[in-house]
Amino acid sequence: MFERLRGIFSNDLSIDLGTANTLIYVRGKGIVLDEPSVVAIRQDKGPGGPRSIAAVGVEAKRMLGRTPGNITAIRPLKDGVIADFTVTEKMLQHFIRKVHEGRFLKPSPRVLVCVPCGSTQVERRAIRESAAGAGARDVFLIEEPMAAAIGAGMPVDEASGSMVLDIGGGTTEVAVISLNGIVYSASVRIGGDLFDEAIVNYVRRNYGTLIGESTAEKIKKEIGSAYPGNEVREMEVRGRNLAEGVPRSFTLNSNEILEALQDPLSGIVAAVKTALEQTPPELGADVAERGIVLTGGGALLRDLDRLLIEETGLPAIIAEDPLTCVARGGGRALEMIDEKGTDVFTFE
Amino acid sequence: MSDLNDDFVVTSNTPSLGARLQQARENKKLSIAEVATQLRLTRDIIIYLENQQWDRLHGRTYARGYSASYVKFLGLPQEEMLAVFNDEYVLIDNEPRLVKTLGAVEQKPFPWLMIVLLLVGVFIIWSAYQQWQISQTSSSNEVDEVGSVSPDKTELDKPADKETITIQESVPESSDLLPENDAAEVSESDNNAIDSTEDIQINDTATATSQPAEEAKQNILKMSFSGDCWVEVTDTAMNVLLSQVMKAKQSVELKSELPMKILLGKADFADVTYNSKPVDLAPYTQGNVAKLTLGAQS
Repeated sequence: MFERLRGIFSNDLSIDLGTANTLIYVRGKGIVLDEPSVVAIRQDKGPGGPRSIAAVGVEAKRMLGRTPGNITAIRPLKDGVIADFTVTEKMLQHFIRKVHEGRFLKPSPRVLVCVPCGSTQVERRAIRESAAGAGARDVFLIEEPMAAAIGAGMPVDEASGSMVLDIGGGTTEVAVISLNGIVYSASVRIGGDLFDEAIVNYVRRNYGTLIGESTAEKIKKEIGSAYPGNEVREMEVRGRNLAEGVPRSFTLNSNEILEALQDPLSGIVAAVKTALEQTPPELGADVAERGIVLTGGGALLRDLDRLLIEETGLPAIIAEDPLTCVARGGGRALEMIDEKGTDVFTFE
Repeated sequence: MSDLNDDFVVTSNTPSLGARLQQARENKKLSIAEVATQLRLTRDIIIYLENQQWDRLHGRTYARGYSASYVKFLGLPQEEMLAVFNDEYVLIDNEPRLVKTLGAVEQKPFPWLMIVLLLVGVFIIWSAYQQWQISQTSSSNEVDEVGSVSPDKTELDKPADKETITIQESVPESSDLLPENDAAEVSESDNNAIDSTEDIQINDTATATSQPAEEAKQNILKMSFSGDCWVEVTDTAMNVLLSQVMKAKQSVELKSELPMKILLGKADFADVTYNSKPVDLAPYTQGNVAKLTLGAQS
C-alpha cells in the first residue's frame, strides 16, 4: 500500500543494465542517466574488513586501474550478466536515487530492465532481485534485442521481418523480430570489452608493451576500424614496456587495430550469418530487402556496417543514437504496457 | 519578375537532400545500378532516396539509415546531410519522435493538487465516521430508554461471575501453635476438640462488594462433607466455581446465581443446602454419584 503511494511520486524507469554503461530512461523525459557500470569499493582494515561504496559511475571509472590498495574499482557486470550481486544492487540503488534526486519520499518506481536473450533463468532472477532490492516496485524484464529494435524505431509490430544487431559491452545480440515477437535470437559473448582486450593483447604481442583497459578503449574509439578504408589514421600511445619496465610511447595506426580486432569481428559476423541461416525464408526475404539495423556502442566502430555489407551481402544501417537504443526501447515498451497491457510483449 | 528571380535563386542555392545526392552521384559518374550494388540496396530504394519518397522506405529508421549509407558512400559531409534529412523528414513525419536528447532530470512539480485531494478525502472519511458514531450513540440511547422499563430483567442478565467461595477446612491436628481466633471460624459440626483450623477464603471482591448484601445471602450454596468426596460446581456461563476433592469435615460455601451444575463423587458423604434449605440428593444419585442442576430443580 505504502509502496504504491510512493510509486505515485516516482517515475517509471527503463534501465539498460549494460556491461560497460548503465542507461536510465525516464518516461516522458528521455535518457536521464548514462554512466559507466563501475563501482569503487573501499575496504579499510585489511581483507575481511567493512566494505563501503567509495564512488559509482563516472567517478569510479576514472579510478579504474588507478586505485590504491584499499580501493577496488570493479565492474559488477560481466558478459551482460551480474557477476557481483551485492555491488550491482548498490549501484542500481545509487542510480535510481540519482534519477529521483531531491524527492521528498524514497522512490519506488516501476522498472523495466533489459536482459541479454542468452541469459539463463538464474541470471535473470539475479537481475530481477537486484532491481527489487534497489527499491523497484515492479520489475519487468525485456530481452535486449527487442528493446533495441523498438528503440531504433523499427516496425516491430508489422508482419515483416526486421533484423537487429545489438553490439554491447559484454554481449552481441542478433535477433529477427516480427509481430512484436522474437522469431530468432542469439547472443554471443563478444562485445566492446573483448575489442579492448584484443587491442591490449595485440599491443603486448607486437610492441612488448602493456596498456590499460582505458587506453585500449580510447584507441578503439579514435582509430578503431572494422573494414579497411582509404584513410589510415594514427595515434600515439603510452604504455609500460615489458622488457625495460619503464613507460614508453609508440604510434599505432588504424590498420593495426583492424588486424587486432579480426577475431572478435569474425565472431560477430559468424553470429549474423547463423541468424540468417536460421531465419524462415519469408522473413529472410524481408531482412534482405530492408537490411540489418545496428545498435549498441559497438555499432559506432568505424566501418562496421561496411564489414557486414561485404560479408553478408545485405544492407546494413546504423540506428540513430545507437548507444541509447536499448534504454529508449525499454521506455517505449513501458509506455506500450500502459497503453495495451502486458500482453504486447512476452515479459517475465 | 525580379521577385520570381530571387525566389529561384534561393531555391537553387538550397537544394534538397535527394537532389544533392543525385548531383553528387552524377559528379562521380556513377549510375544508380552501381550505387545499388555497392550499398546492397535495390535500385528502387536509390530512386526513392533521390526523389525523397520517404514514405516508401519502411519508416524513418530505414530512410535515415539508407541516406546515411548513401551519403557516406558518396563522401559527402555526414552530419550536415543528416541534419538536412532530419529537417526534411519532419515534414512528412507523423509519428512522435522517440529520440530524446540526454539531459538532466527535470524536477517534477511537487504534486500539491494530489496532496490537497488526499487531505480532502481523509477529511470526508473522518467526518463521515464522526457522523456515523453520533448516529450510533443516539440509537443506543433510545434503546436504553426502552430498556429502563424492565430494570429487573437487565439485572438478571448480569454475568454469573459474582460469586463468593468460602472453603472452610477443619482438620484435627496435634499442633497447639495456631492462634485462638481461628477457632471461631471452625464449622459448627466440628467445634469440639479441634486444635487447629485452616481457613481458605477466596473472595471475588470486585464483584462481591458491588453485590447487595441481601442478594448475596439468598444465593448461598453450602456443602459439608463427612468423608472424602470429589466436588465440581459450574455456573450458567460454564465457569468452574469449584473443582477439587473435599476432605472429611470440610465445608464449603459458594455464592452464585442459579442455575448451577453440581457433581458429587460420593453423594453419601455430602450434605448440601441452598439458602439454608437442604437439597435432597437421592433422586439425582446413581451409583453414589450425584449429578444435579440446581436452578432447574427450583
